[in-house]
Amino acid sequence: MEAAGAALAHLMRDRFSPVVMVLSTPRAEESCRKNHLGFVDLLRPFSVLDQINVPVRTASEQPYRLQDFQLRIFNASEIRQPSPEIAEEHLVEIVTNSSDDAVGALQGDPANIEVVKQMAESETQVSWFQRYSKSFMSTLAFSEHEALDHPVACLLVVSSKDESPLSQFVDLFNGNQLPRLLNEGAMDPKILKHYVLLHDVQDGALDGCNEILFEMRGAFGVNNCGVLPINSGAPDVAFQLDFWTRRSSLPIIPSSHSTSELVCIVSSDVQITDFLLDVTLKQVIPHMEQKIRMLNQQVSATRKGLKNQLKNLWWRKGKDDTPDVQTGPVYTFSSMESQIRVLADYAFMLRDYDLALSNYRLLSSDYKTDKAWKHYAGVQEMIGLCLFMLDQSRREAEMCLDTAYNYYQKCGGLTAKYATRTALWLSEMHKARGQFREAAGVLFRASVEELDLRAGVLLEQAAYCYLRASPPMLRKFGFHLVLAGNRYIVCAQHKHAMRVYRSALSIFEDQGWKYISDHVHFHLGRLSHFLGSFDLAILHFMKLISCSHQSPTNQSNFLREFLYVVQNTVGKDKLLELDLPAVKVENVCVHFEDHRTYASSAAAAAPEEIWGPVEEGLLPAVTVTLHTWMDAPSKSLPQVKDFNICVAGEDIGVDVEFSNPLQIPIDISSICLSCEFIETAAASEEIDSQISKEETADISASPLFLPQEAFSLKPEEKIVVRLMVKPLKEGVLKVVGVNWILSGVAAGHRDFAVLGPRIKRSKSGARDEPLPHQRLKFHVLRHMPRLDVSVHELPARVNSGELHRVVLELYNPSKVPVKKLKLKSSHSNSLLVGDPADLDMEFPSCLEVQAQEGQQEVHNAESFEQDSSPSGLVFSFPEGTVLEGGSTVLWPLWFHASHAGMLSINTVIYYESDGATVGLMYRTVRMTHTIQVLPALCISVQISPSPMHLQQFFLRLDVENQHLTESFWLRQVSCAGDHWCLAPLLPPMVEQEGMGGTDTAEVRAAFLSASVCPSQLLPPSQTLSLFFKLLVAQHKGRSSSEEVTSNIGLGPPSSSEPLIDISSGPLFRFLLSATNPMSDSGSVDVVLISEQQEGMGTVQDSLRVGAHHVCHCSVQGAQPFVWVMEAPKCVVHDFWTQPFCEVSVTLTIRNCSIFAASVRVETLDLPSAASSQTTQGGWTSLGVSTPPSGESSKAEPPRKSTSGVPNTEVMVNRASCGPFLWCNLQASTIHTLPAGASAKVPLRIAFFAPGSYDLSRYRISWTLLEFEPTSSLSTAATSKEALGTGLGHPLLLTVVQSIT
Amino acid sequence: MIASVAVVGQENNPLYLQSFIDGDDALKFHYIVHSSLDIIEEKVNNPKKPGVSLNETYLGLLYPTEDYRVFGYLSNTKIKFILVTTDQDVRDADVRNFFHRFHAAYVEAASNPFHVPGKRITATAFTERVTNIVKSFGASSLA
Amino acid sequence: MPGGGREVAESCVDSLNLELVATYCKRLHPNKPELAARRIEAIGYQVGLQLAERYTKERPRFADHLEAIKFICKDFWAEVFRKQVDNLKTNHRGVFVLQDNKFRWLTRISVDSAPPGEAAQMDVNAAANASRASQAAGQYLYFPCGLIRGALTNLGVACAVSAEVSTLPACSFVVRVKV
Repeated sequence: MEAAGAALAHLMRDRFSPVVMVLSTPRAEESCRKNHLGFVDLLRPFSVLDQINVPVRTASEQPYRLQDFQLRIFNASEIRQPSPEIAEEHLVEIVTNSSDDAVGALQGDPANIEVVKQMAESETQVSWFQRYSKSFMSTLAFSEHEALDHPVACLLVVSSKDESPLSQFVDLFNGNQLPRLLNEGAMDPKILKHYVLLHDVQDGALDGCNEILFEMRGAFGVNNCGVLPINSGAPDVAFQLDFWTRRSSLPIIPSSHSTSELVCIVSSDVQITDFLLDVTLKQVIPHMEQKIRMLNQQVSATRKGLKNQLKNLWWRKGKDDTPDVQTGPVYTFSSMESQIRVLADYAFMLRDYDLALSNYRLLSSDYKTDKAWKHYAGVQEMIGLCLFMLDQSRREAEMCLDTAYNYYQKCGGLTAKYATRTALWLSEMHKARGQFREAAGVLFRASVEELDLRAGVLLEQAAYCYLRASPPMLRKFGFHLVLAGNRYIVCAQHKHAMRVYRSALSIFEDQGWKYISDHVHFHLGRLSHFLGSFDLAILHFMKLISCSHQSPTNQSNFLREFLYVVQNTVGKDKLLELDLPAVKVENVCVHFEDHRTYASSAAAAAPEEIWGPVEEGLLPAVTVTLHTWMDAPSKSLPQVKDFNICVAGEDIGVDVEFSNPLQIPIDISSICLSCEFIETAAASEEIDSQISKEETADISASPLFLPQEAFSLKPEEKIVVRLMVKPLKEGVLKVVGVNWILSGVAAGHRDFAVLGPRIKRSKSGARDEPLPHQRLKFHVLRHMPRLDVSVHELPARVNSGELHRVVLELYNPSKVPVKKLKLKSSHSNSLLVGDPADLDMEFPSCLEVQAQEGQQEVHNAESFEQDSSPSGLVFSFPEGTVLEGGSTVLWPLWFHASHAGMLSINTVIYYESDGATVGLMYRTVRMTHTIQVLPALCISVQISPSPMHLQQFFLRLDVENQHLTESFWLRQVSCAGDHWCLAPLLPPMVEQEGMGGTDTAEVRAAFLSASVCPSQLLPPSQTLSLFFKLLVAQHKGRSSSEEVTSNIGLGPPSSSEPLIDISSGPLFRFLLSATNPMSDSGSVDVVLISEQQEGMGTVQDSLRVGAHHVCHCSVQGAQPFVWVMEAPKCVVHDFWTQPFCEVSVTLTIRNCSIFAASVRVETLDLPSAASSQTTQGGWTSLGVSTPPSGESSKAEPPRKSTSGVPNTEVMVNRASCGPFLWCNLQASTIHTLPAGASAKVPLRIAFFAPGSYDLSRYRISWTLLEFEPTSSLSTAATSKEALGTGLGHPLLLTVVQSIT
Repeated sequence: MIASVAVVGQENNPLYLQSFIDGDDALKFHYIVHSSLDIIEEKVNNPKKPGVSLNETYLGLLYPTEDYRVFGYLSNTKIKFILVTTDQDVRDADVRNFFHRFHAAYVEAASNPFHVPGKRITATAFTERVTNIVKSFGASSLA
Repeated sequence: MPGGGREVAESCVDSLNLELVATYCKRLHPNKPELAARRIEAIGYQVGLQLAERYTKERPRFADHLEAIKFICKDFWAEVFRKQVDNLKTNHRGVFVLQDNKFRWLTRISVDSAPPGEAAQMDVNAAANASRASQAAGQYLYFPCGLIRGALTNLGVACAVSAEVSTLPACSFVVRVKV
């Protein structure tokens, strides 16, 4: 504070130092002109007198000393106020000149507040403002309302060459070139005069002057005269030059001449210094001192003391009626007020501040009562300054200056400028006391009333005050800077405006106050455009164009300005990092094809995981690992290698998301990817080296093909565009970013910032962290043929079980032939590869039984080799098949879906091209098809053993039509394999006749159509049951005969429908794939062939054949064992000759279970309960007729009795039977009966009387060996019947007495 | 009448700013509100200043610009509420009352689960409520 | 919790907390407990922010951290948990311990108690139960922790909050002020 205060005090002293007026004759001037200086300019440098020590006495005789003193020397012509226009021009000039170095003061990035602080404190910054304020004050000097600038003394200068110098002296003073102040009587014309005889030494020696001096002394008094010799010095240009330029104080009125070079030399400054010292000490100061004393006595005589004050008061009252002019009454120098003012001012200038203060106070009351506001304000101003100099009661000082300010303002007009001056003083005082906020306030208030330029300057200063306040008030700082900038712009001080706005930026940038920062950026953009720094302008406008928060009108304005600037400056040549439209640079989705190509977009879209299992076993072993890193980049799996592989001449697509943040539509054109491409020598090794060189050399044949997109975005619209790049040569391609042109004017560019996954996947993290761009980096390989694959005739919706023939078309568009084709499908049991022969014959008739069946089998076998890969089969096309360039291959496929539901089949075709490419041995085509399978016929089979024949079973086939709308024709039922054959189930009598009959076929057919399958047509949601006899097929010879075939047509006898062959062709293979391994004797696979007409149309080719399998139907019935006793129906015996008749029967036991078993057969004697029964001879009427075995099987439900004893009800049932005896031992045991084997047990029975006997009196009990219940193979039955028993089937044997 | 109201977040970032003088550009109020933050900081940091009692949420008149008066209110959670009025004499009670209701409105808005703390308040409900408060402010001051 | 005159049945708050734990700890992140904890805590944090805003509406600003913590112990606790903290301890170096002997949200947590047996076995079981109970109750305190942290943060006290269950339903929250 002290330092600052001292500085300010010093400033005030040299501002308020006595004025000396100079009147000089033209000749005097011209002798000075030799130095290109006026007389005044000569003196000025020496007007500061330091290292002096002058004793002075105050009015009250207090002695004090002046250590330094200063004079302000002006030409008489300069002692007047410049016209406001000139003054303003002058000030503008100062500002403009200072603008450049002021801008220079702002070094570095203004976003950093420190930089701005430096700028604010920097020398240039401070100095140019000081210069400004100083010259601003000096434009206000020489006002009549204050005596501070009134000349204290007057130098009359006459050259020694003038003739009659004395007369010259006389007319000099009463010439009309005296300043207004004197003429209009604002000041006392009787001022101290000092007569100077200027002698140019070059014109001759001094002594010529002496008598003139003598005369002068005589005329004007001894002390008032002097001689000043000049132009006597030795040449020392450099010294003079900088000496003068340094010391010459600034001219008030811009003076044309420059002190640049001094032709001839002024006398060494000693003389001038002495001269001025002499004048000051001997003349000026004593004069002032004495005048102060004199005035003081006068004042105290008239005004001090109660009486005077009362009188003065009364007198003022009297003067009230004087019309009060806007500036208040005019006070002539003789008036008391002026006297006091002079007194006070002189005192002030001689630094007797107490005296000055008291008189100012005295004066202020007078002026106030006179309503002479301007004068009043002036006095108040001085009071404030006095108080400051005395450093007492700051509060009052500020108040005084404040009132001064207000009253100056009140007067308005030019006087208002004085208000600004006061404000400057006040703010300086605040600053000096470290009250920067107050200073800023004062400056701000002053700026409000001021012209634009000065307001700008003041506001900027106010801003710096806020910056220097502690704590700094940065926001206000910024705010005032912006205000200042505004004013600067208004008065076209662009550089200053630029400077302040840029320093303001540091406050508003990134603080969330978007509107403000936008405003600043907008002005900065405009300014820098105006000042010709276009890059800066564009930079600022770019910050603006993506302002989503602004109103649409603002948005369009900003955009327009931006486009305008771009159009007029860089145009499209420069790529700008535009934010408009917003590009989602951090995730872009890349589509490309390396060894994997996609037949359809659906296939490309399918997730990568599904292909793994399909390709497994299809691809060479090494490449199985590849699919971990060669991976569709859309999924951000970490990639081990740092580039992808693609093939020259094929498109790479990049999905980029553009969005329009604005509420106005924008249109974007010529959008394309920006790529880097390096042709690698490795890529072109086959080609001659120099050729490859020149290829790399010429850029004209660009190695990339970049199609361009264009679209326009609606407000806040967001779209994803797939941009393409097609490398035409081998090399390394890197997709860097995207370029576009905004509304046809500005070229925009953004780099992709694609980053890998954040998460580290392994402990050795760094290695796994993917490089930023690797997803977009491609290794372009030499051309490799790419097959176009399509599947024809594959319906979208099928019924389950339906059989379709679809055609696979492979087209090779390239020149290079393709070989080693392989195919693998994810659902090999639904999609089978046929053989080319299938294409020629028409469908479905090709399914029918052919004559030459064996031959086809062979053909199948060779074309259809399967390797046992865990999932599905790999079909590799025959060795011969090479797909020449441009050729097409058709291949049949068979489709058959056994289960309902959505079926998505993924198929991969593998192929290689000769001409092995580096890094690309093979390629694959990926297809995916989704097919909706509707539920259609659902069949289920029940098989139960027939009790009559071991080799016979009854097969029940339940068919349910689950389809909602369609109805199916049942065409044929077959059982697969050669273990079994089907026969229609016929009533016994038909059977009987059938033995010898010839027309059995028709009868059977008729019966079938009638009973077995009354209607072939099965309407929706209906069920139907069919019954058949299932026979174990004997050796081939038998099976060829058509009664026992594996296929039974269900058509009416009239229908000549050929049977469908299921033992070969696609049906067979589907069956095969469904039942794997082929069922053995233990179980049977049943196939139902249905067909379906499209609507009513009976067109043959629209016939749809369906095959439904039921596999592994176990032939085993409820029990694991079946047994049949074979005995003659009737025995004739003569009981007379032989008392009993012995009949041998055999019991055949078959083990249907899957386990070996031990079987025990025991024959039962008559239980004691039945022994009392009467045996009747002769005919016995049979309660029951022998039923057909079918019924009997039903009549006697399979019953198991864990306890050995037969239950009574059975016994009762058999009560009617006559007695007989088992002749062999009670029980016989077969220890191991292997699975599926059968054993015969011979038995003998003795009868004692004729009659018919029921031979069912035996029991069979078994134990399954190595039977474990947990085994999955064990059916429910076996698990229940680890061991069990069963009674014999009823079998009647009639014994007849032979008649001899 | 009320020229503008604003809510400023803990990081001195604008959460909400609405000017009720149509035709007059909102930019000015952004500046006014923004620079008034300096005063708030000053008042809070050295509360020895006369006028504001220690730690009271209502900060009173921040500063008079040439044609506005700016009042401040600092919640316990360092949320600043700023009121800019055009009329030079405003009853202190009115201002306090206004700030309390304004703060209440903000609390409701901040309790909205979709409001991200420290981000701009975009809920229209808040805007409506504030508009009502502002209207009633005019009414109460007349009464 | 009275907010602008609107009230919420306390049972709702309880079951909400239950559901929160069930969802995050059992369904979403069953095998990442610390993640679940963080999620729940984050939810509590935001609620805490809002509640602090609400409950300090009518009061003068806090001069220092201690005042803020006291507010949490008294008024905030009373608003949310219907009682005041029973004991507040501090080591004067930025660690505060808020002891609640009957923490509202733990009062309804019960552990399947041991079968009735003789006294000795009983208290053994009791100990076992207590331990099981406390670690079961732990995850129901994620939310309150977040609540407290949120409130304090919004009041200008950046801190970390952890909870310890000694014996149900008593529990203590440890507030570590970040310096």
